[in-house]
Amino acid sequence: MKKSKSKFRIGVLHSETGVTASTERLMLAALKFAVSEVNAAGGIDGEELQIVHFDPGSDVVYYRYLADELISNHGVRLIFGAYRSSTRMAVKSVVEHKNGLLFYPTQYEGFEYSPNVIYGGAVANQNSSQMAEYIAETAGSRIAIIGSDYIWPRVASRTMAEQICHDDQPPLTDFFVKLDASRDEFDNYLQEILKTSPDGIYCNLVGPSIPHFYQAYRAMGLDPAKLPIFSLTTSETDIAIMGFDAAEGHVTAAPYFQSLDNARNQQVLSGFYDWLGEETPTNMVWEATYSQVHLAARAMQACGTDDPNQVREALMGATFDAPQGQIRIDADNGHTYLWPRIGKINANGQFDVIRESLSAVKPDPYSPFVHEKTWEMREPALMSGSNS
Amino acid sequence: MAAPDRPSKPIRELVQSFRTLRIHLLVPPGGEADELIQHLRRMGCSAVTSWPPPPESEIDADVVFISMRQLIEDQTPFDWNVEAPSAALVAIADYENPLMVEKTLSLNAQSIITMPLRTFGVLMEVLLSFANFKREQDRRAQIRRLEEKVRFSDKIERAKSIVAEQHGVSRDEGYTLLRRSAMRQRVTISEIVDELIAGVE
Repeated sequence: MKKSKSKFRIGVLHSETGVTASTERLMLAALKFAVSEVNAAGGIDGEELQIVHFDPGSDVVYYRYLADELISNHGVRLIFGAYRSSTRMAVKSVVEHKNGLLFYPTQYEGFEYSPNVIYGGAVANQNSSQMAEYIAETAGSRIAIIGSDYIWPRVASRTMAEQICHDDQPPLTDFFVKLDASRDEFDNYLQEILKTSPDGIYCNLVGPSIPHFYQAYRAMGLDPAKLPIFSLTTSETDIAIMGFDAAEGHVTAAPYFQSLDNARNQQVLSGFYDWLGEETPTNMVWEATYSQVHLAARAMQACGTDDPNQVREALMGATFDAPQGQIRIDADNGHTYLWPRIGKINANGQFDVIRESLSAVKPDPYSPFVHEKTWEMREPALMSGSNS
Repeated sequence: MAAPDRPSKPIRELVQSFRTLRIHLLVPPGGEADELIQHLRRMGCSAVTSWPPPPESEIDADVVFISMRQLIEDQTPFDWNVEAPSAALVAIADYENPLMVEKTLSLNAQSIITMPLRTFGVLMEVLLSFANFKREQDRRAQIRRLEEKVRFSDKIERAKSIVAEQHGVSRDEGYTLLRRSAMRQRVTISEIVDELIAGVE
């Protein structure tokens, strides 16, 4: 392989500093690992796949500025990155104007379509709908909601309330907390939540707020069996920070958990640990990032260029044997068929899968949630007869 | 801290039900509007298309899109009751100038969508135009009801004067007589009044 400047270079905008650094560092590691696999297998068209990475410091302004910098001054046309919806929108506006292609691996609120974005994370009909069904069956409709103060948590909260709350009964609380809120503040929020005597807490926090909140819950001596915290974001990465005791018994819906007991997941995990030199928690965005890099590399290989239009064309309908199961990019909307799952955190800080989809679910980013059930879940513990 | 506010039920229902809205696009096939059709389907809406525009009576839809450029360039007749339309109208414009603006204004369009399409905004255009249309429709119905009320009250005043004059009583007593007469004959006061006025005229 040529070692000079390659024809195939991808831009990367993941933060190593700021509020979402803990998650984005893991995404960056997944990306570098996948790139190393691509290059170990001979690169693309005999050329090395190279990375141009900038740290946007979890700041929306820098995501926008650096996306422009990557395309205008570094000749990069494919960008991987962003995490919060506000940062995706910032990068999206740049790739739309300068005809780039953004690979966005994070679960988000939907109601978006851009010919310049490939969406790799879950939309509401792939995590929120299954979670709503689970909450309705196990906890009921008296739910308190808390989330971080930006776009995704607000929309995700509304979406959940529309699915589980009765017309005459809005969610008991609807708190939106600044991303840099301190640990103490969560004691107050939790006390306000407890005053409403909820049957469950739906949590759309991100970043350091996640461990803060679960730790505050643990410190109050509350029982997850009676008052579980339900989330679409709380992952293995957050669990490692908050401590297993603070996490145990709470529930997350996601297409991937590190604990997935299948050969492909074990293979990718062991490759990742070898490459990294240590074992570290992985999670849903780690997995989606890994898959998106391989999908993009294959598309570039197929068209012999990083031209965004050709790469996008090659990606439509493309499949990949991902750690979560086989995934496919939906040619209708550029989102991805994924495997909805619900996991309960065990004493080892890992998720026990308590429900999973029978098949990959077609992404429906514009789902208005009117009795449109497009999935079927099973309980693996019951089906296999094991007792997890 | 108080429980959070929610939007009103009609608004929530409208947003939840956008996929049930029937959409009719009046656009020539194979044009720029193809992208709009594709996006409406991506959003899960069902859309039919036709060109040239059929008569309004044959359009069975909640929201109608029409290509303004085609309407102007083809000189195609467009049968549309601008004062009391049967559906929300969204104008599709791919340029703007006074001619286009005048034509769009004269159709009383509820909303406008510009080409080339930015997919962001279509959901809002559809729902906003439909909500505007519904509000205009409700206002028209309200105005009709008020007009009837005013007409009725004019008639009552006239009838009261007639009775007062014929029987040499006050206007208030005239009204009492009218009411008694209606009760005796088991008809509405409006019918008594109509009969009385017709008799005088």
